[in-house]
Amino acid sequence: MSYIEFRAVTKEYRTGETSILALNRATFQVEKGEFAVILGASGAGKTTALNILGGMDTATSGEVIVDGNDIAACSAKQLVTYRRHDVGFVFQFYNLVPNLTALENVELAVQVCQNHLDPAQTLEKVGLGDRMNNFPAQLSGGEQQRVSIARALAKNPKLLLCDEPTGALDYVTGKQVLQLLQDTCRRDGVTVLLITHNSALAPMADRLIRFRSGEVTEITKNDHPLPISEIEW
Amino acid sequence: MRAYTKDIFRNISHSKKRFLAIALITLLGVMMFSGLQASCNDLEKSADAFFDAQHLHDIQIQSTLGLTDDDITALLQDKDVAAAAGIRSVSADIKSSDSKTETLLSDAAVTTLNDAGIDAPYLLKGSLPSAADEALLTEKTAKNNGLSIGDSFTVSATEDTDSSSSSPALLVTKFKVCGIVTDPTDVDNPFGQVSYRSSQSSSDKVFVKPNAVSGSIYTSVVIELKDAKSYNCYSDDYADYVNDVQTRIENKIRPSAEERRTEEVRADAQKTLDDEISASEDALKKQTEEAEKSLSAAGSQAVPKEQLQAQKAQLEQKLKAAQDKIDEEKAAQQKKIDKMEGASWYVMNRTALSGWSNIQSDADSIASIGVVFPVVFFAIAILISLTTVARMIDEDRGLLGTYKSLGFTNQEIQRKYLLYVGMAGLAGSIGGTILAFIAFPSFLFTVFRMMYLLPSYSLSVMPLRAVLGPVLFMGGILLTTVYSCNKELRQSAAALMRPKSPKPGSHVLLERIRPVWRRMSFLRKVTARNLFRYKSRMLMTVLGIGGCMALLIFGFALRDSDVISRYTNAAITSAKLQTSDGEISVSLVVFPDETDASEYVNFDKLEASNAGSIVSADSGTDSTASAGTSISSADSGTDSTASAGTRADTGNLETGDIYVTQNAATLLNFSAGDKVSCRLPDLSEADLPVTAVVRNYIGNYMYMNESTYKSYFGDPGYNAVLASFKDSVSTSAKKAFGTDLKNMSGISAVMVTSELMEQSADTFRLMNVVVAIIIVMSAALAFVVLFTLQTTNISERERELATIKVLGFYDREVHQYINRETWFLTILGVLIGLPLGWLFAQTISVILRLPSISLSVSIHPVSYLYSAVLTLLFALLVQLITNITLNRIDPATALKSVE
Repeated sequence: MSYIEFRAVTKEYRTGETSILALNRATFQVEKGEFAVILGASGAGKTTALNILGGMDTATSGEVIVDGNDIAACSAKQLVTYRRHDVGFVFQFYNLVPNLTALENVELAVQVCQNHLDPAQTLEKVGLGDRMNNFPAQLSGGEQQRVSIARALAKNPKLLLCDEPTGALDYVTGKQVLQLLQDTCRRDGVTVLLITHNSALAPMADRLIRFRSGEVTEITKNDHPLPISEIEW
Repeated sequence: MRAYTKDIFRNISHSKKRFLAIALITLLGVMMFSGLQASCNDLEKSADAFFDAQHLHDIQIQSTLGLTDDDITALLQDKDVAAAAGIRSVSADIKSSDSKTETLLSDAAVTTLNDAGIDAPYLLKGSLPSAADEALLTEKTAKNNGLSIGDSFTVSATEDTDSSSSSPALLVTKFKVCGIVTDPTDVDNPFGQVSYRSSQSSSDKVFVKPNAVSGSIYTSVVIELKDAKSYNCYSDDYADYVNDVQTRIENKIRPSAEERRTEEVRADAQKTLDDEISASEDALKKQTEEAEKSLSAAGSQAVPKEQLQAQKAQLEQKLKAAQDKIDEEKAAQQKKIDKMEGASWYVMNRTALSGWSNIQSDADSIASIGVVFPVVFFAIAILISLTTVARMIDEDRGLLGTYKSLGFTNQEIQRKYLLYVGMAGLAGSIGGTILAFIAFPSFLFTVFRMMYLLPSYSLSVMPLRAVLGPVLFMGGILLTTVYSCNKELRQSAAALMRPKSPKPGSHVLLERIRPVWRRMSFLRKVTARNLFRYKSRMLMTVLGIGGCMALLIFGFALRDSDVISRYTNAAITSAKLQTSDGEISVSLVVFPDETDASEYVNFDKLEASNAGSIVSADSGTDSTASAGTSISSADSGTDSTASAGTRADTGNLETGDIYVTQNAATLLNFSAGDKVSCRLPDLSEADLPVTAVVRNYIGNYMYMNESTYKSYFGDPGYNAVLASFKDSVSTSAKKAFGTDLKNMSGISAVMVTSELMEQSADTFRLMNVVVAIIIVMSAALAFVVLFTLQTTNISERERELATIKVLGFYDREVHQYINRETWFLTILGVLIGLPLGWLFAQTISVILRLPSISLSVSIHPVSYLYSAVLTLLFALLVQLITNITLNRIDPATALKSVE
């Protein structure tokens, strides 16, 4: 049994008579410590899958097993606990708390954790050592994204879920962010799932999962993943 | 400090307006909840303290034949009587010390102080009298007569009683003013208005030492009860306590005392008569002897026999005539003595004191207003907080999702908002409580000071209310917060982080009416659609404004309900009513047939006469009865008929109707349907069937119309005019008019009913203040409602507004986009508020139950206009403020896409 098992997961949105299937019996697996990249065009269901995996949304049917636990069968309370301790999420649009500084944003996240990393150090790791006391409004997009990553990393989670983290970033910054994620995966043994619609990133993955129209169309294992510094696009 | 907590505090500082709105609403609500009650409580407490300090009597007894030391002894035997003292009082006119000046003021009462210290006057200036020729004056008396400390004045009794009789008589006629006092039995403030609620404007009192007035008979006896001070004299416990003692006095002491006194007086009169008769007879005997002597003397002289005979006959005739005269006199006097009315006691308590009961009725009526208002405020406060909190949580949707995704529990997320609202509520509660118990009463004290002569007012707290108010309001707004939070937090984190899809549009009913729809401009069509898009907000706006309109109308109605501006002829004579239980004088008032008598007199029919029922001390309908004593404060629950009925409840005076007032009914023990014998001054008599007993507190009246009178007595001679002033006439003008009338020849008496209106002015001065407070509060409420709803409206549709800005709408057009809807809803709210306000105002008569006036609820049409104008003014004000906010919407930032 894989570390993460996504089995025939369906997510249906019903509005009146119309029914939209965001996920249609999607199935994939990820092993522990792997760097998985999820590719697909817009509307393919990638974000939905990640949301369900991260305990932020519920599946209509199917099983989602993470480290032996079926997330889909968890109660709301159990999901909270799951999110608290086991998952770190990096959003495409940062979702920082506007009233708190960068450092406080990270502190906020680790407040509820047990074995967390030091927030200040994590911020330094992402290269924001001298911007710690700025509010999100005073940070650029890339800096905000890095805060967001620091927030996720500081929680010391088992699972790091990233939803298009470089979508709003330029080439150089984007590469830096990806490097950081790759290092975390390799060095700290964190399982990373990354959503992107940029197919050039495919070589960096240990496992490549392709989505289309709510279904998984391809799962490819890559035994020799490239370090990000060698990838150009 | 943890980041989470920091977020909460920064949240407050970044949304001050919202925080303030919640705090303000809580403040207003808590203040209104306790403010009015606290003020009344303070009034009653301060009055109670004063009355306790001055040993104001708990019971006062008067007798038709006066009271003696024997009566006092008998009263002291009761276990609850702590002290009893007799007071002698002489009616006198005050003149200045040089007798050349005219009477300065008639109808003063020279009253003795007593050693027991009961009803002790409160010294304002000067000192208590040390000699018999020193006197204390009330401020009113002093001012009315231009006297001050050190001045001398003379008094002359209005009735001559010589000091040898046992009735009170003046021993001293020239007094020096040694002090100015406040009389605890009369704490109505005379300056500005005379209290109507006393039957006569209470006579000016002159307080003197007991040795300035002679006589062994007391005009009244005042009693202090043992445990009375331990109660607040306005509480039910006090009333029950006094009532118990009164009943005991009535049942145990009164009958024997009356008998004893009656016998005493009769014996005295009989003795006097006997002495007189024997003196006369002695005189006659002497005369006879002398006559005989002169006759025999004449007989010894040479007088013709016929002359002698004639003289003798003449003499005998004379003597016989004299004897007859004596016999006649004896018979007549004896008849008088035999027919003499027995002594009748009147046992009264403090409800007979106008000042005391005015305080009670004022406190009651203000307090009862204070019951209705908090309810309305509470409802609106919940409405506002619901809107504000819901809006706040809505805006933080994304944040809620983020928190959720980070693993915070729902409780932890909720805590943030609960703390926000809780702190706002707490701030408001504290402010509101301070205002309610300190500022509010202090403000009303200034009004009370104009109405009463209490020397000091003290603030106090009502602990139950002080806690209940904040608990209620804070509980309310916290519950709405929990509700709003839960609603959002039920969604998944992902759903929360997705931006909310805007409300779907739909077709409006109006579209079906094609001709109208086609003619409407595009923007008007948008307005029409938008109105129905946010149905709940539409409803809230309309109801919120309607509610505030209703409150405003209520406030105005309180002020309006005292209209009279009519006049009619009337015939007023005094008549004597008699039944087997006795005889009393009443004022017989005859109205012309065509007059609607109910426009001048409120005929509040009682079910049955209250004869024999022992009512709680609150009710003025029990033994307090003599015409001339003030009775008031009928908080009686004894009558199921409309207590302060609207005029619609009372009937008009039809032909054949004869209404008699309740005191007469009680005294003479008759009720509706019985017959009483009525005797007019011209001695014509008739047996009149009483159609109904009506409520009245001052004196005794009998009402009938012309036809009725004609059928029993003949034509009434119209000798009076009942008239009312127009509203625009000022009190001083009314008084001046009254004085002018008095001075006209042919006018024997004028009672300016602005002394009736002064009770109106009296009550309504207080009422005006309260009304002003209510109006201001309602206005503040309306403002907050409108403001909150408007800002919520705008923030929710920020994107929409930013979009139309980008599309090229001018600022003015953007304003119109929003304001058109708001105006439509406001006008709708105003229209709904009109009947709502009318309905609300009808409850005034139930709420207020002012004993001395029946409030017929009337609302000037103009008041509706005022309320509407005020509300619309606020709408305008809010609109101006929101226009500024609209201008500030920056399309660029507002449209920054999340997805």
